Amino acid sequence: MTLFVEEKDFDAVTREGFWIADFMTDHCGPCKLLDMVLSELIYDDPEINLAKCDIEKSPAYVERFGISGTPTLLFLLDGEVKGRLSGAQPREVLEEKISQSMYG
Amino acid sequence: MRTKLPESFSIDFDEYLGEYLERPEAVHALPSEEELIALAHKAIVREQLVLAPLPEATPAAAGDTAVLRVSGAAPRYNKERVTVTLGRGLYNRRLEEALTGCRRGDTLSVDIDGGPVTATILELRRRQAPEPTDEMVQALQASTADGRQLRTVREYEDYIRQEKTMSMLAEVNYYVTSMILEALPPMDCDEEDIRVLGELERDYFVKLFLETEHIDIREGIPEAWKQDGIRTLDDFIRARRDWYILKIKQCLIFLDILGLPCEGGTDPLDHYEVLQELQLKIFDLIRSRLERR
Repeated sequence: MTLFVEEKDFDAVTREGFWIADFMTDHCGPCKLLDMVLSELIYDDPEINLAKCDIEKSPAYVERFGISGTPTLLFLLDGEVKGRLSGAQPREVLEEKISQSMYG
Repeated sequence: MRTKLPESFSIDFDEYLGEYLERPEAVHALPSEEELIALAHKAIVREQLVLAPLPEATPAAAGDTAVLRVSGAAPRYNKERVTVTLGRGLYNRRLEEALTGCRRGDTLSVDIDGGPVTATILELRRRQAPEPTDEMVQALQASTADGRQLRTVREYEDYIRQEKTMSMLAEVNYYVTSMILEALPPMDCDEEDIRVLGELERDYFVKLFLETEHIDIREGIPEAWKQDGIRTLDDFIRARRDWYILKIKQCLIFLDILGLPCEGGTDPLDHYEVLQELQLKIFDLIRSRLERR
């Protein structure tokens, strides 16, 4: 599942299951590259959910999660943050982080 | 431009490319047309994916989602419920392969890290993905780098083809250029060349912000630029000195590789976008070399 999520709805949306929160902006080039990688991941692993978090539309994200640049990813299992990555990482790096965050 | 590459320095592009291709993480080939279309379609339908339960008699296949009860010594393999996509290897490749072909309710054991892990399939689901449509593309509200909204499946395919290919070429270019820059002997860049590049960038940013943001940055720079004592456009240009030096070196390297003279439209002092234009020519060169290999 992929949802565009505002900060006020973030906790309710990510409370159950495995979520990748993608902190991005519309005009960020690396965000668009990362989005392509995430699209493939979500398709191949449909149990992974993606929360697209636009930090310009919801600036409260920046302070709450200490976002210093885009793209930044948080990996959440049942609402608990299990991992974090910055930058447009390749698929292999994302998969390793997912494996650690999802299964311990 | 007055700055020149050291006369003793010669660039064998194919040698550097070959060295890069020996790296394990190297990009060896660009994606095929089929792979690019598949990638575009995966992106378009990602919000419409449904995981439908499999009938009891249907065996699990790679790509199916299994909910398992697992018991083993390690906490990772001792859970009442764990959700796994079979065949992807994110949980445990050996266990996932063993479960492929099994049915809901089946139990099996495999040896993992020297101890038995027993898994029972509680649920099996299979991905159902619709065919991509123009309406799905419009719902994505995706746009190109220059702000053009994507409205059709065809436009989205073109966008992915362009972005994915360019990002891979840029990656190869980055590594190969970095290797050449590392091999470059120490060299001085002409101060007048550095100054002119700063003026070109000043003009470029002033025009860009006036056109896109309707802000005159000569009156006050964006907040995001204000760091390490930078308060004015002059400060900003001065702080970019290292970038202008790098730009001079990169342009000279690209011109050398392409066998082009540093004059007129290919001289970095002629207009702001020279480096970008040379880079695109290098991308074409990389593409042809990868295709030949």
